[in-house]
Formats: sequence, C-alpha cells, structure tokens
Amino acid sequence: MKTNVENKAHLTKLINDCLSNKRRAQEELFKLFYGKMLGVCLRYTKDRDSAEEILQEGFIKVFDKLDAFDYKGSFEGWMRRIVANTAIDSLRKHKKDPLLTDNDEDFKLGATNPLIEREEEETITLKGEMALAAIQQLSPAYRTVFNLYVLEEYTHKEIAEILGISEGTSKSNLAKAKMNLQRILKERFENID
Amino acid sequence: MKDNLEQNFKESLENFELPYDPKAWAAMRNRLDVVRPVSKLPIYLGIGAGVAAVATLVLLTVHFSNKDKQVDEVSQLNPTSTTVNVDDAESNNSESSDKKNNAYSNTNNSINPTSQPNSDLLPNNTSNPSNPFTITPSSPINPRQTTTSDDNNIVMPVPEKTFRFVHPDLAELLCSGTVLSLTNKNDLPLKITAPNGKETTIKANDKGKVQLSHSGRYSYGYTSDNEFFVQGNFDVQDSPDADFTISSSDVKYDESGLPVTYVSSNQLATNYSWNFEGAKADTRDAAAHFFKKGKHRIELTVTAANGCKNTVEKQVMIEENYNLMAMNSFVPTDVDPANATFMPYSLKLRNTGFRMIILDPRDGHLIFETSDASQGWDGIDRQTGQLVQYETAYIWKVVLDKPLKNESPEYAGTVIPISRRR
Repeated sequence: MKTNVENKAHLTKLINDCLSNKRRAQEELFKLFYGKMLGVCLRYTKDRDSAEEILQEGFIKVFDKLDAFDYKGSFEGWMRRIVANTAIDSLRKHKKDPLLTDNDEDFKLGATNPLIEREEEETITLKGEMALAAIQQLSPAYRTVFNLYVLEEYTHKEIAEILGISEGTSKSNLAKAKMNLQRILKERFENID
Repeated sequence: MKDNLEQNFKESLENFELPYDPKAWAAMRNRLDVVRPVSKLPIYLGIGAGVAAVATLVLLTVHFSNKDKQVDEVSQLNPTSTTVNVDDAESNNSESSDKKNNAYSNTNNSINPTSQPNSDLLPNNTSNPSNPFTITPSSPINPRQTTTSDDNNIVMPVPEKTFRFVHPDLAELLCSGTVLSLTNKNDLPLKITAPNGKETTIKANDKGKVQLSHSGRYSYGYTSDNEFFVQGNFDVQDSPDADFTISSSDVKYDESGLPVTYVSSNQLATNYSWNFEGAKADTRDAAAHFFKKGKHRIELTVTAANGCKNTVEKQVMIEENYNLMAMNSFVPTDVDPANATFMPYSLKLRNTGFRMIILDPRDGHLIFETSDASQGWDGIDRQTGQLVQYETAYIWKVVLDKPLKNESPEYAGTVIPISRRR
C-alpha cells in the first residue's frame, strides 16, 4: 500500500478512476489515506466517533473537488488541507463559538484514554498516540489554534482570519494550549520529556 | 521558530497513522450512495478478466433458493446458463433489451432515496412468466469505460427464484433518541447503518430494534456473503432539547392565594405539555400548584416543528403544607375589621364555594358557621351570643365545594382569639 502512495503514476490513475466515479477506486483511495486522515480528524475532536464523521465528510469533499487537484503539489498535502478545513467547519457548525472562548469544563484530566489502552495490542507509534491523546484533552479553543499553528503551519494572522478571532487571542490560546499540554504530558505520561 | 514542544508534537503527529478499519469503508460507501446516488448493484459478477474490463457494467442477479447458502452459486458458471450479449445489456434500454432478451425483464435499479418500497428493484412484469427470474443491468455509469468488443459475452446463471427485497415498514416520523422496532420479512439479514456508520443487523425473518441515536440519513438493505446491498434510506429527525427552569423566587402563593411554583421551558417549541402530577398546562410559562409538603414531580414534553418530542422530568421540594393561609390568632376588638374577624386569607382571594365552621374543642359544640368569605368569625359564640374566652384555642374546619386538582377538600386548624396584638 505505502509504495503505491509514492507511486505517482498509480495515484494519477487512481484519481482518474475516482473522477469517473468508480467505487473500487474510491475505496482504494479511502483505504490509502484513511489512517493518516483519521489522525488529522482526531486532532480536532474529542472522540473517534466524531472524527470518523468528519473524515467521511472530508472524503466526500475530496471526491467532489478531485477535479480541482492540479498534480503540482503533494496530493496528501492537498487532501490534508481539505480534511482539516472540514474539521474546522464542523467545529464552527456544532458549537456556537468554541473558538473564541475557553470552557474549563472541556479541560479535564479524567478517565484513561482508550487510545492509550489500545496501544499495546496494536503496534502503533506510542508517541503519536500520546501526542494525540494529549491534544484531545485540550478545550476546542486551544486545540484548534494549536493544530492550525503547529501542525498545519498557519501564521497567527491566518488563524485569526480562519477562526474569526483576533491575532492576540490566537497567540494567547497557543500559549495556553502549550502550557496545558506540558501539564498533561507531565501528569499523564511522565516518561515523555 | 518552533520550540521543543511544538517540534515534538509536529514530529510525532506528522506521519501518524491509524490502522485501517474495513468497517469504515462500508459507512463511507453508504454516505457516498446517499450524497450522489449512482447505480449500485447487489452482486458484482466477476467472471473472468474479460468481464473485469467492463467494470462499470455489472449485472445484477440475485439467485435465491430456499437455502441462503446457495446464493454462492450466483458467481459460478452454470451449465444451463443463458448467454447475454454485453452490447444488449449495455444499452440499458428496458424496452429494447426486453425485445432482444425475452427471458429477462429489465429495470433500472439505481438506488433512489425516495423510492417506494418494493418498486425499485422489482420488475413490473416479466415478459416470460415461465422463466421467472430477473436480471437487472445497470445504467452505464460512465460511457467512456464501456467496451464495445463483441467477444465480451457474459454468461448468466439461471437462478431458480427471484429474490424480492421486502422493505421494512417505517413510520412517517422517526426521531433521534428513540428506538425503532423493525420486522425483517426477508430470508436474508437486514442491515441498517446509522449516519455515523454504526450498523445494526436483524436476522432473516426476525424482529429487532434499532437505536436511533443520531439524526440524519440511515440506509438499509440486506447482506449476503458479508456484502451490504443498500435498498433504501430513511431520515431520522432531530428530537428537540427539553429542559425547564423552576423559578427560585420567594413567591410561594399567587394572587389567588394558591401555593405556586412557576416553571418555564428553556427551549422554544411548537407545543408544550406540562404535567404537574395530573394537572395540565400548555404554555411556555406555567404555574404548578402543589398543596402538600414534600417532593413533587413536574414533567414537560416539548414538540418541535418537525413533530419530534422530548420529555424532561424534574422534582420540586415544597416546604410547607398549604392550609388556606390561615392565621392562628385574631383580635376581636381590633378597629380594623380585617383583623377583628377570622377568615383564612386564601378564601378571601380564591372566590370559591366553601363552608367553614368553628368548634369548641372542649365540648365539640358549634360556635360559628359561614359560607361567605366576607363574613369571618368575629369571636362571638352564636349559641350564647357572648364573646368566647380569649387566649383559648378553637378549631376551624373548611370544606371546599370544588377543590382543585390534587387538592384536599378539607382543611382544619386552630385559632386563638386574643385581647390585643402581641
């Protein structure tokens, strides 16, 4: 599978087949990027169910906009943008204004995260799971800014525009997100630096 | 410049990947079917490489006999099979195909979300009744992909019996948060997928329940050989939120002298239905009257514009028994006539029919009697014509002609005439 991702010719054919609305091709594309894109979605949500829902929505958009892909940049990067944008849109839709304020109730260091428990039976990179689990414990306001700034590499100015908040809020939310992450990592995963 | 923490997170998550979950595609496929309905076929007949080239031309046939297991035979070549020319099937023109292949009846089987039960996948008439099986070619999804090569003949098995999917009976209005009871009248398992991909399967010819935990479009169909064949959709409406606020103000009695608990629905709704232990109200703001001390139940059912309902129940604590707001003393000699007579305060406000008597607890004789709220007891014993003794307790009893819901018709207490206000 992985070699296929790198194989540009194969990917091009796959995209073409998806453009022809071939279910098998769509399935293959879905399979290829499912894992990575779910990882992206999980960063924006609290649980796997919501992440899967956003992922589905994202893939629908991907299939819809596939003809707009110009083959110049990385396809994975292109897809990642769409999926991340879908996640942000869904946050906007579901909560009144989760991106402006921070609700302390959202920030809980409670129950064990199932992702951590599963880590032993499935051979997943431990670190990625932990990072994800920590991010998921952030409030939506902090989480979103952290994702956009650190992982999607937007500037504070861009984040402010995307989320409709001030640059100052973006900066302060990032700082608070990092503070909270450090605390979460310290308290829950002491083996990480 | 990224600091260590940022770098750490970025590196650990950049190429982070979760293992593939095969179930995820089933859910995704359902969504795609709903978003952009395209011809979808129950069983793909992969017969040889030649057929595989005609990927978009797939012929549907469901071969079905009394035993589910025999479904497998569909994909096997059958010595008694009939040959269908691909070009004919491809044309997807029901009429022309029927003419060319009398043995088959054609029908367009694209899944339509609004399809009527039993109409979509079933041919209306079979041209040759003595050959009762059905083959349903798809519409060519993409003409570019179809091949015109003449040697692409597909060999069709002759099924013994037509499988007709029986759609489940569905209520017109389905609401989230409810449980849907379904009867599967098919000889194959019935599967229902929720908008979030959650699946429920009801065994062949069995009953089952589907938890409608999400609103949105659900798909249903049958499963055969672990493949899910969508046959239809149904929408589940959002149930409204239901919550109400119990007024925490100090007002315990309303202007009619009744004990009152004010409640207000937190949500706007099309319809409100309050139940105060049997007493009803149907406005957003309502007043409950509880007469006895202790816990009482308040229930609110709201109905949204889409017809879905939701009910919430709360308890309220009533601090004291209602006793018509009666005073326990009065001053017969007071200059203010309101203070100079005894009449439970609520009776003055309620404008309700009643009879009140005053008794002497020592011998039980009747001192006073009235049915007029403006004619309270002035402290005179009607039998002797004298003022009764001060600083002595007398018994009052009230019987209401028409008590309210949950209200006792009888009230009683003691009252002490005193010489002056203490």
